[in-house]
Amino acid sequence: MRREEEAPALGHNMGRYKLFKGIGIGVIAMGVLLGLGGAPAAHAADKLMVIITPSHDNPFFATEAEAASAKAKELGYSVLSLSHDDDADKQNQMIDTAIARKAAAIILDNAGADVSIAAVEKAKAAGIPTFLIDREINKTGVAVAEIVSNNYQGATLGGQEFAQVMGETGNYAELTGKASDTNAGIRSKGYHDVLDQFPGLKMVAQQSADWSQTEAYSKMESILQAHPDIKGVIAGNDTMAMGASAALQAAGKGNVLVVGFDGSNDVRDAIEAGKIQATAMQPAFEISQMAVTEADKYLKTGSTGEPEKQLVDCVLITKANASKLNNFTLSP
Amino acid sequence: MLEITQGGDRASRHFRRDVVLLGLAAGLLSGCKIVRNGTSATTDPQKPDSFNARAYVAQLWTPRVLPFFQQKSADLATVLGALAKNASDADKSFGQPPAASGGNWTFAVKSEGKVTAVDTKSLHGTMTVAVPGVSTPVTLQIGPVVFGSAIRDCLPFLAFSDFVNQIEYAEVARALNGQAGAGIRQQLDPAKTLGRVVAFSGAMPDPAATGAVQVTPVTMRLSGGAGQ
Repeated sequence: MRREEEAPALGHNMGRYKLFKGIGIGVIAMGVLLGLGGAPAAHAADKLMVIITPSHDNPFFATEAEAASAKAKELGYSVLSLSHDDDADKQNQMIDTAIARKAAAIILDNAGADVSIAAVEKAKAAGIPTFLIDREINKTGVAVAEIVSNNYQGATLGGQEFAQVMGETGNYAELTGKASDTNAGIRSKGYHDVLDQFPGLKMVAQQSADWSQTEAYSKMESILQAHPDIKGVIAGNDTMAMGASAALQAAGKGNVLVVGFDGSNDVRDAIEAGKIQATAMQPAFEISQMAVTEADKYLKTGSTGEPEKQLVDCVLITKANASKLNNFTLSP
Repeated sequence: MLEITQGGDRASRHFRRDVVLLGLAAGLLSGCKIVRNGTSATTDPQKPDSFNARAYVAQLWTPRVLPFFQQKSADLATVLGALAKNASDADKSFGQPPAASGGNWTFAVKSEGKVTAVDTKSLHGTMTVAVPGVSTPVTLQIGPVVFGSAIRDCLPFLAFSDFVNQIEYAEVARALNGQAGAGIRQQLDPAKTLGRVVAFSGAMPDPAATGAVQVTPVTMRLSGGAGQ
């Protein structure tokens, strides 16, 4: 139809022109308003990173939170640091908080490989990317990154060292971690996949001390009463190794060999004093800062530049390198 | 449909069609890497996963793992010399980068030398070999208990991201160690090699990281003499 191209009387189409002009200006104005409202040019300081870990009572998780907070602030973010205490419900509430606060990103050391999938999916649906540290979840494509300590590899290192210091024979006890924590089972499996290959090594007791130093102390006491001839103790983490070591010292059994897991400053000191033989250091500081750096890159460019799953190896700490260890970092 | 499926009664046509399809499928699958992604069937690490690492490795071994070491291993003395000269160049020329951050490079190496010591008292058995042109003794893990994941770490076609979690990834390492050990024991009895010359190929973690020249062998045979 070419009617509009005919030369109409100006008055008749002026009304329509004004209408269109009005609409046009309105559309442009809306566009400007919407553009300003959603501009990525908003300051990074307005952007919030929510850091969620297990309880900071354990120096490992405290270090994670501190390292992540420091890096986030350095990059211009504001930070909210929370602990879920290994409780899936609490973790869910914290994800809700992050969503309500319109967080830019979540850094999460999660409360369980299965139970956390839904929480991370919920954040994703709300437009918040999650960067997992230390522990995996059992589904890919949900979190943007999973920067995990290789707990199994670390346990393999600890198990191998334990087998060697035990001379491949003798009775030993194992203290396992909190049963609800996937890492408790992963480390125990890592230990046993090595130690069970040595028929001369006999596990005479296996008890959970729930990651707790005081619980490990009392469990060690009762194990000693039942098995006074024990030659070694292998613990799922350093706080339990410290508890076991204290009980052994108190009972005059300082010659019993002890191996832990995490790489805490306490155990470093005990290794240097000869009270504990070895531990596997998780690079808590490094993985936390990696997660924040990758989150920042993701927010700015839409990609981390890395695959989703990134493995960070544990390092065996013995008397040979204990002096280089501080706050879950090994200096060169 | 292909010509081959023409002719004959319906049953035989379908049979031939199925054979052709199966053949195609098998042909495609044999070149494929089995990749596992998504939700794991079970998460309790104490309960057996649905993943069978031994079977996985067994189907990779002959078509991919052995040929890799047979074709891509570099002479051990050459690799060590290159590392001493310029480690980062040598890494790129001969090595496989660390699978994990903070890990070490791993090298596929081959060599030959005289066995100067064998320790089978420890279950973590070792063999010491004097390699011409290499000043430090070379230690080979002969098992039955083998430590570490060097064989897995050497292979460019296996990555952590191919597996559901670190446990599966670790089980593959163990299965590779086991498969290698079984193959070697078919060739010789390590306990009886003292003073003999052995030719081997295997995976060597960066000596700068381990502080020694250690090889997890993948192939080994007595050199210039009847096998035992």
